[in-house]
Amino acid sequence: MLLRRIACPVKLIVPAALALLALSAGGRATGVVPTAEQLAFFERHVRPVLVESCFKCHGPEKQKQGLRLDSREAVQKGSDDGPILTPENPEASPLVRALRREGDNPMPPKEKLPPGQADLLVQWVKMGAPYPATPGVAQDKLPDASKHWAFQPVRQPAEPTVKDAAWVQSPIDRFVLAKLEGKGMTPSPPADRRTRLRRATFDLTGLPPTAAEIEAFENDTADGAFARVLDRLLASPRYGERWGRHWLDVARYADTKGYVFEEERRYPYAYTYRDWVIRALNEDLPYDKFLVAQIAADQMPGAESRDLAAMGFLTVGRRFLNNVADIIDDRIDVIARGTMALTVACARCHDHKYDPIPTADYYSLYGVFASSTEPRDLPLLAAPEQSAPSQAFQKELEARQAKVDEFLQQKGTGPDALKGDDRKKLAALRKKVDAWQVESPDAPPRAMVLNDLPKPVEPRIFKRGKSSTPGDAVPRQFLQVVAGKERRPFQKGSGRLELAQAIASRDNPLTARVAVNRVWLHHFGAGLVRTPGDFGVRSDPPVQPELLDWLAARFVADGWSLKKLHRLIMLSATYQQGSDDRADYQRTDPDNQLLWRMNRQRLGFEAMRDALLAASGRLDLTVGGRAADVLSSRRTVYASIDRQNLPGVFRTFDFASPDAMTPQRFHTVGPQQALFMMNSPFVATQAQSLAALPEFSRLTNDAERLQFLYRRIFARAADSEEVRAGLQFVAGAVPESVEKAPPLWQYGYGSFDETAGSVAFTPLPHWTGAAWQGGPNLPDPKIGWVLLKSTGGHPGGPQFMAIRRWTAPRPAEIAISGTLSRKADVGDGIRARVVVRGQSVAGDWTIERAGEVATAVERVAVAAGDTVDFIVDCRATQSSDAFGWVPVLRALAGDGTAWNAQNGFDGPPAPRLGAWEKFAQALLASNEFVFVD
Amino acid sequence: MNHHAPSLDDRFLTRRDFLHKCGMGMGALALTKIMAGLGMGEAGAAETAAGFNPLTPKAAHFPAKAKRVIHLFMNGGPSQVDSFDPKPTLTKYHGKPLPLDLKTERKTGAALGSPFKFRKYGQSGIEVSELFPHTAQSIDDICVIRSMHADVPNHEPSLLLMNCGDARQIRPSMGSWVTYGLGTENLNLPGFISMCPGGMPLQESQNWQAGFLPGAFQGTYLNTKNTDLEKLIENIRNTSMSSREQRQQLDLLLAMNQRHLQRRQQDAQLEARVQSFELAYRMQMEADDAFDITREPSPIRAMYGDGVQGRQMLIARRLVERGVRFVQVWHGDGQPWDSHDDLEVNHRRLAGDCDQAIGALLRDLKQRGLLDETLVIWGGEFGRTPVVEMPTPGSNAGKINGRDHNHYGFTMWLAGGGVKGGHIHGATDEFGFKAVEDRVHVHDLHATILHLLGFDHEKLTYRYAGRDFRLTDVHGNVVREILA
Repeated sequence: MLLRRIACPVKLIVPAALALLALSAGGRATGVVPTAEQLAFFERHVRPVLVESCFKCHGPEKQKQGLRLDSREAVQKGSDDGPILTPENPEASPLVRALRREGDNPMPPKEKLPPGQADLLVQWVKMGAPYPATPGVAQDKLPDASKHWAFQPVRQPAEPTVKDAAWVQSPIDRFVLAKLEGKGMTPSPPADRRTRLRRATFDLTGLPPTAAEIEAFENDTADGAFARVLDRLLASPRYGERWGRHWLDVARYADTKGYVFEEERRYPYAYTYRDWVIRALNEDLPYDKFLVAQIAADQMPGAESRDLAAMGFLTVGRRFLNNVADIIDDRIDVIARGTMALTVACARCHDHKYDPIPTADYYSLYGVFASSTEPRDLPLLAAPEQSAPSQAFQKELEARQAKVDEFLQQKGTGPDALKGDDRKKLAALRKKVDAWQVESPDAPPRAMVLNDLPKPVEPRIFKRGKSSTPGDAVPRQFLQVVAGKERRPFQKGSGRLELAQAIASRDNPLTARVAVNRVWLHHFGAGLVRTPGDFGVRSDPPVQPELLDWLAARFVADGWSLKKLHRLIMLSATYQQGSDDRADYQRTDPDNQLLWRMNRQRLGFEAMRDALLAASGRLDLTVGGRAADVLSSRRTVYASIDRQNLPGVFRTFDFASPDAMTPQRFHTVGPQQALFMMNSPFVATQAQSLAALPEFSRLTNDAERLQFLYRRIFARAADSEEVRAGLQFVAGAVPESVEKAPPLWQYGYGSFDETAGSVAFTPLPHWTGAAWQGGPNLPDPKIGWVLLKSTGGHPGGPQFMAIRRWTAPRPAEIAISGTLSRKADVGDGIRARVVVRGQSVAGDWTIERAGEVATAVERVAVAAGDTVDFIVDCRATQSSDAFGWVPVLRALAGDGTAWNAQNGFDGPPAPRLGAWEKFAQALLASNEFVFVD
Repeated sequence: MNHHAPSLDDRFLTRRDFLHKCGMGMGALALTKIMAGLGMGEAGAAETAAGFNPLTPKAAHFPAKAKRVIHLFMNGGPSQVDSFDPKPTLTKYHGKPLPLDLKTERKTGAALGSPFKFRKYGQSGIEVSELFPHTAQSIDDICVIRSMHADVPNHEPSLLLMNCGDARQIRPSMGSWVTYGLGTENLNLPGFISMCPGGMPLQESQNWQAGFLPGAFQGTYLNTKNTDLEKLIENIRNTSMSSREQRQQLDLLLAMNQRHLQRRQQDAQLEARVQSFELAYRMQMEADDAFDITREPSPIRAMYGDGVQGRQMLIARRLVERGVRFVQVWHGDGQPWDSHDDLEVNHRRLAGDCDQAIGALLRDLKQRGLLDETLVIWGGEFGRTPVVEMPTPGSNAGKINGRDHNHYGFTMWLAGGGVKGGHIHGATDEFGFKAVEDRVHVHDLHATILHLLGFDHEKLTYRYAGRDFRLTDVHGNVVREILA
């Protein structure tokens, strides 16, 4: 069974030597024919040393003493002083003596080789210095790809004949059944209607069906009922969110750049790419156009301006501290593996060891992207609306940009010429421009495009991947392995559009196959080709090659329609089989390669989290827009993805790596997943919400309550045994009272009467997932703009101060540090106070406009349970009063424990759960909830 | 995915081994009993389900002494000539230009002799400076590598090189490789833990990334400034109910899952998830115990000292003692050891923070018999120049009393885990600038660490994007001279 294999990833221990044996068995020139083992030894131990330590003086550029070591012939010829090898007495040969630093010519001259390396070289000499005939891994040694299945044109195979024709509901079934019958096997009986509906609904929308939907399908006995279900699901906007996320795995989507020095880390507009993908899939944009837009929407005939967002496919990758070669490498990889399952990036430093991809081809593509550039001002996706907030945004943006321009003007130089503090200053000013676009909800959406440079770059090969060693020039052109003999250099600009069209061509043998394999993978849990990211010569050939080709041909003939492809697959009897195990088949075909049943699958992270929200009634189906916090109630596809420090919950549940194209997710099982189900506030909140539903609370007896929860969570009725066990649990599950220490940090609003020495503190009622505030919307009708987040907040009107409260867990002498800041240069500023025990003011600071002030308090003594309030008020008016303030309290004695407001910032703890809530949580954590049969 | 490889399922342990090595007592046994009671049979449960937890213990390529690693990361780059690599000639040249021409990252000037005194310690008589008197007490257990070298004098690429074997690209970290290869001996705790007080080092969580390996192999980051367990490990505490209530709830869950499982022919992936809840239940208690240093007797706590360094070193010992595979202990957030100015003051303060705790860790491991099977690694991402750093606006305070970054030569040391104690390997030139004898590149260090753990570094590979990747990429030679 495939899932099992995926779950045990420690299995790829292939001796590197085997690989080398395969490729080094090339021809040779003269003398004794080296054995494969000898050549393997050379490639593994000798060539790296020669490259690193010898070629500089004895290679293509310099030949000191007339000696070259970069070919077999040259080594045999020796130096101006004569042969360097004496086969009859290797120990005495000049090369060995030089390496051992015996005599006048120790080599390398400045520093000796590590002993291990020198010994290996001596050993090599003793073998007779076996050397492959051609320098490097030359083209003539590349594997003969002409016969590899994936590089053959897609054929339209004939549909096989089968014995059990009655089982066949789709041509797909003929291919599957023919293989099964060939082995004397039979397919599994169809799954029941409930299972089929649940499977189809999760597959297409990533959400569970409701009980009513299941009942409707169970009662629809007319012909074509399942097809009608599929049409309904495919028409749902939830479809694009589900399948869009599958594509975002390929696109290594994230909302941040990764590690940066001084610039803004967040991409302001990555979300426009995510939204474009979702919409394109909902609209069933033909897959070929879907690809072309993502690579070259700026040049695509007939593209609309909204399609420019598609190019985020290339630009939302990691930024590698702005190293251009690495950024381009990332783009080549995402395109080649993502669309054609070709590992082109392997050819960055040397010809691909297995696939027919020479380094020259890598740099042909490199030239395409080196000839493309990202404009500083990204294009708008639509004309911005002329509303007041939008104008306010624009005004502030211009003000921040003006500071950048002003600074550059003052320095009288271009940005690249700045050094030291000036460079830092410029970076800080630019960061403010970018941060404003990230943070303001009114920034109009823009597209993360590439454009062609006015004059394209003529690429050169970088030897061993190093730009410092440029080699031959190569044209910008497509891959030889796909383009074949007809290959011509790209003609238009960078060649990006031509590249896109060559990928999305019906003549490309890989693109359609890779696409249908991916769709198959997400329906069945395993692809027809089991390496969805690698169709190269080292991939296993599919067990169903004819089926793969038939699907690929049909997909193209159907106008590259993904929705038609889903329908085709899901209406097959193969897809509708039950998932029950069959012990005899489990032995003969444990991986279910022959598709004798449907694979049972566990919900991935998004579907699981969305299903929890759907069950609790909290699911927020808002479509698109800026990223939401993963703790919010929005669909998971909209959760913010910080690729640098991805929140633990994503990793715990095997989320796709946002750093490189993910062909298929892992499926691990570990206790940290269970801890999330058992202890996280998120799951407890869903359980609590379920029991708070009006439909639940108006029920009057326990049996009804239990049935309600079963129906809501499992979309079925509980049987008598389940009722008995459930009611027994609920009867015995009365919550115990537990003493609880007050939380370390609390978030509230209120006022401070300094003369009376009293703080009126009311907890802020609403948690957004990232901030505490008065309600879901700001300003809140009652308390206005009050808000507290990890790094600061915003006060409301004079009676609605923002109060961050710390409660001492033990008696201590503490010092307080921190910086209060306010960014906006308008309004009347803010005032901040530190108030101990609600009475005494330990610190008092005011910022009148923009600026910052250190908020240090040298020494305060507190007893356990004493409060320290960090109170910010708006002074007279509350406009533009967003502030930053991360107070840190530090114990002056003992281990110097520090309480940092940012580290300690959190949403509400998991609520105490009553008996029914605990029962609901157990149902939500069950295998029945998270597995799909 | 991974379809070519021979199955390694046979490397998974038997059920009895599994229960034993995972430190699972009653809970898990009770679980299998429950399963047996439900007609599942005694076999099966742990055995098959274990296959789904990628952290299940596995055997290395060959038997080895080292079972666990503690990597003490002095981020920022401690100075070798002020700590473990004494250079009298440098002192002689103090204030004069060196007859060397090595390009440094920033502008540097004349020789800067070490302001710290060295003296000999132990049977081996290895010299250690006054910065590390406590650590020096264990010098006879320490193998000092004085000939380390890296590729560039910049923090970010050097941190990634030291941790992941590649300076820029996305690669799994050493701790991820090791837990991938060995699993972990205590499934009730994370297998790979990275502790850093106050925040994160430069490059942040990339230093302990899983790269293209499954997320389960990523280091779990703990901010050891925090003392609350719930801030250390996500979701480790239940605030919704008492533990008795939780046990009741899990029993209900178990019974429901059991029925579900029985109707589905005991599918192993279903079983694995059933078992994960029992593991999680135990992890709650185990973690409570592992991180609570107040359970240590006061002489032990006094030996480590009561600062944050003492606390995190003591936690490190408690973790390896409980079978955690790989523990990284970072000095602090940012780049604390980066003494471009005021080297004397700053290095004295930094070493003062951690020396007692490091010395205590070594002695404590040894007295418990843990040092033999625990490999302790000490060092930064590179060292510092023996010459003084000159003023550069924007990058130092211009005091002319600090040292610049130095990747040409620096010192790291290893202790325990099968290395030669009281041994010096390699040497820098007479000024301590460049490694000249028996040079050890970071790749060589990685190859050696993997060897000490029982791996041929060329065979611990993972197929990704069409290629078999390894920690040492295409480099690395085991430094056999330091193996005990």
